[in-house]
Amino acid sequence: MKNKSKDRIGIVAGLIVTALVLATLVLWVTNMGSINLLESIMSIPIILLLLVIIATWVLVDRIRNMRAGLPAKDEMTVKLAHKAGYYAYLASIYIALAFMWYSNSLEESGGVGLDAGQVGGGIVVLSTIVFMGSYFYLSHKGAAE
Amino acid sequence: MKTRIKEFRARYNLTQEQLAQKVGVRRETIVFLEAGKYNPSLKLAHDVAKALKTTIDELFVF
Repeated sequence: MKNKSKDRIGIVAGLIVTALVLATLVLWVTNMGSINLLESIMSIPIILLLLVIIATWVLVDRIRNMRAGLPAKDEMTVKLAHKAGYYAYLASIYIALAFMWYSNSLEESGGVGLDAGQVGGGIVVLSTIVFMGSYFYLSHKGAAE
Repeated sequence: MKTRIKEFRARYNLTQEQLAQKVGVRRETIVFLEAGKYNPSLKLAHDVAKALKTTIDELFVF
C-alpha cells in the first residue's frame, strides 16, 4: 500500500517535471532565431527534447502497470536502468575523447575548434542516446547475466 | 538458466499477470523469468517459489 502511494507520488512528480520541461522547451524553441545544423545538434532544446521523450516513455509504462494493479517499478527495471546507465557512462568517456580528437584535428587543419559548451552538449546528447538505446535493447533482451 | 515457472503457473491456472500481482512485480519480469532472460535475486526467487507453492530448487534449473 505504502509502495503504491509512493509510486503515485513519483508519477505525479514525473508528470509535473515533464510538463515544465516541455513548456521550457516550447518557449526556448519559439524564442530562438535560426541556427545551423551543428549548433542545433549541440543545443539545449535537443537535450530537453530527449529527456522529455525518455520521461514520457517511462511514465506511460509506469501508469500502464499501475492501472493493471502492478508496481510501477521492480528489481528488474532498476537493474536494467543501472546497466543502461553503466553503458552510457562508459560511452560518455569515449565520446569525450572523440570530441577532443575532433576539436584538435579541426584546429590543426586551420579551422576553429569546438568550444566547451558544444563539447559538453554533445557528450550529454550522445550519452543520453546511448542510455535510451541501451535501455530499449535491454528491455527486449533481458539481463540474464 | 532454465525455469519451470510456466509449468507451475499452468498447474495453478495462473496468468502471468496474476502471478506478477501475487509476487508484486511487473508482468514483464515474469515474462523474462519464464524465458530465462533474467536472473532473479534470492528474494524474488523465493517469492515466486512461495507463490507457486514450491521450492527454488524445483523452480530454477541452473
